[in-house]
Amino acid sequence: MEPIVIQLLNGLSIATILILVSLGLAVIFGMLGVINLAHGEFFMLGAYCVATTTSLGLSPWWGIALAPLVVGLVGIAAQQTIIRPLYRRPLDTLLATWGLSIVIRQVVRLFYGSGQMMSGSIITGSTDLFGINYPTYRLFIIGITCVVLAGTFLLYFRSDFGLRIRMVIADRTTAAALGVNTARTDLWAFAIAAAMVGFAGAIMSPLIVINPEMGLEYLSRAFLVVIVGGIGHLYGAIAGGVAIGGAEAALSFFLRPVVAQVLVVIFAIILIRIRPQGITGGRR
Amino acid sequence: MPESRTPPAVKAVAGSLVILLLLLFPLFASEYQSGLLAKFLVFGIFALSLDLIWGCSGIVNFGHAIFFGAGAYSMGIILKFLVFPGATYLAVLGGILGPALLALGLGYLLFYGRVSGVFFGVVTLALTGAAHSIIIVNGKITGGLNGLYGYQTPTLGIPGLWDISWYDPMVAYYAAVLGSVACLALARWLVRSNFGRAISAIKENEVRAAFIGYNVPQFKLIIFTISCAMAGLSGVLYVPIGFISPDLIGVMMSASVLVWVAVGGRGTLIGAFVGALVVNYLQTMLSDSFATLWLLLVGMFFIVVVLFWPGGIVGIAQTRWVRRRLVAWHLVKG
Repeated sequence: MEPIVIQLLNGLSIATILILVSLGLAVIFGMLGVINLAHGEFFMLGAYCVATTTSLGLSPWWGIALAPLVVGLVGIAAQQTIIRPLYRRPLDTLLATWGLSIVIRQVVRLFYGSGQMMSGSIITGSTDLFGINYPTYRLFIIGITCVVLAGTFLLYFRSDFGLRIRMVIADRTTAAALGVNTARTDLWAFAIAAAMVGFAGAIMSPLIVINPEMGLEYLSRAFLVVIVGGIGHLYGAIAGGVAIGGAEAALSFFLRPVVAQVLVVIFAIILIRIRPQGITGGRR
Repeated sequence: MPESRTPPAVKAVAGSLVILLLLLFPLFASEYQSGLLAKFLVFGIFALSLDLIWGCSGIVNFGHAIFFGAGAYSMGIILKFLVFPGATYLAVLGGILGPALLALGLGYLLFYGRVSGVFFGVVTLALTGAAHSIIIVNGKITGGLNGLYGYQTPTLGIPGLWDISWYDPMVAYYAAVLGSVACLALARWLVRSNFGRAISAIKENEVRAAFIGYNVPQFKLIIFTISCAMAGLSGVLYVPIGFISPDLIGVMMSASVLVWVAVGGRGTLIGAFVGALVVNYLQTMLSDSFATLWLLLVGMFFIVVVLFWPGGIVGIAQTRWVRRRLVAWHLVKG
């Protein structure tokens, strides 16, 4: 019983992180049609924020607080310089943001070197949960992701800004005719997506290896989550996150983690063949 | 592909001159230089194979190195386990068919699943990471992180009677030249054939091509398989020149080949070779001391090319201004 519950919790924590990484991507990629291949590098920048504050002798909490701001600003700069001019040219956006990901990686390398960075541990110890010891920090991640998720849904479905985003997604031209500043909505949607993935990188940083190459793995997983879950709906990211995260946790119970991740990619591709519209359906 | 207005005679003369130059190059260049050129030509074939699907068919493959690496690894593994004279030919065949079969399976799942455009790029990106892991995990067959070594020397010629080692720099060089010319000829023929026109129609507008009656997934699958077989061939030709290591399959290799094609000029075929030569030459000159800075520049340059300069180097040569100069100097007819 105990290993099963631990594995369930592991699956849940992988899934929550994947959801946090892909939620912003789901909005800007699935709905606004902007592809950002530098998304993984934004994740990496978030983790480096924490590593930097740690190496400066500050509490890692500062890094976690700063990460969404820093990465959000990077996102705004990227949106204004690279993504906006390529609006309506999705394939070129793909290529340009992919160039951006190389640039970010190399800039980080210039400043921090290629080696690993350490992030200070934030919450140590484990909590007794139904008679099972589980690391407190992982529970904290699950909890905080649920909070961020709830905030995103409120923002998307219950705020004026969310209404504007949904208008732009539904019909850009009509939204503009009705007085929505579509350019500004695009910008803010992108900035929020960047801030969220930066935050995800920051809170994951104590658990993972921090190096300039780390973003790519999360980028490809996030895109798989969005495609498998089904684009065109916010729930798609959650469904995809649970599917991919759950599959990864279940498979790494029997196999080596690397093998499990490879199998997940293969399963995802087969799933795309069987169900091109994703788990939650919707347009494609 | 836009119809070029350069007279055929000029093109034929220029082409023959380039081939002659390539054939005579080892006579006046050092062994090191012709070795470098052989490597760049092999990369040129690799870039050409990407241009076939990216420039000519509009399918962006972010994992093209998978097929380059698959070619090299298939060749190495066959050479390691089949030890008899003439195994090299089998290995070459395996190095081409292996990636082609891989592409056929993958392409079937993706194209018939209607994964197209940006989605295809994203899925292939995810696959690159997976492929890299597969190579490292199966250390017994692939040599893992250390790379594959200890296979028998690839030999060409008539098995048992007249063996020539492929490791001989001259043999490797002329194999690369022959491969380049053959692949370029094949690619041009393909693009200009009726099949190529249909592919080009699909690139312009998939929905209309389907309305006219073309089986879009089938056409995409065929061109994808051909392209990946060509990438496999470039991997095969790379074996005598370089090391078989997991880097061949990695993200950086996939990244580099996109850069070569973009810099040379998408959809121009010859641009693939131009890009591969120019970028690799600059890289050899500069990168030894500034590897990090070099990649940073490549990334920035790539962004600039995508934003402002979609035609690449060959695109510049085809612009009106350059054309007018050429006409003014009586090099081409107006």
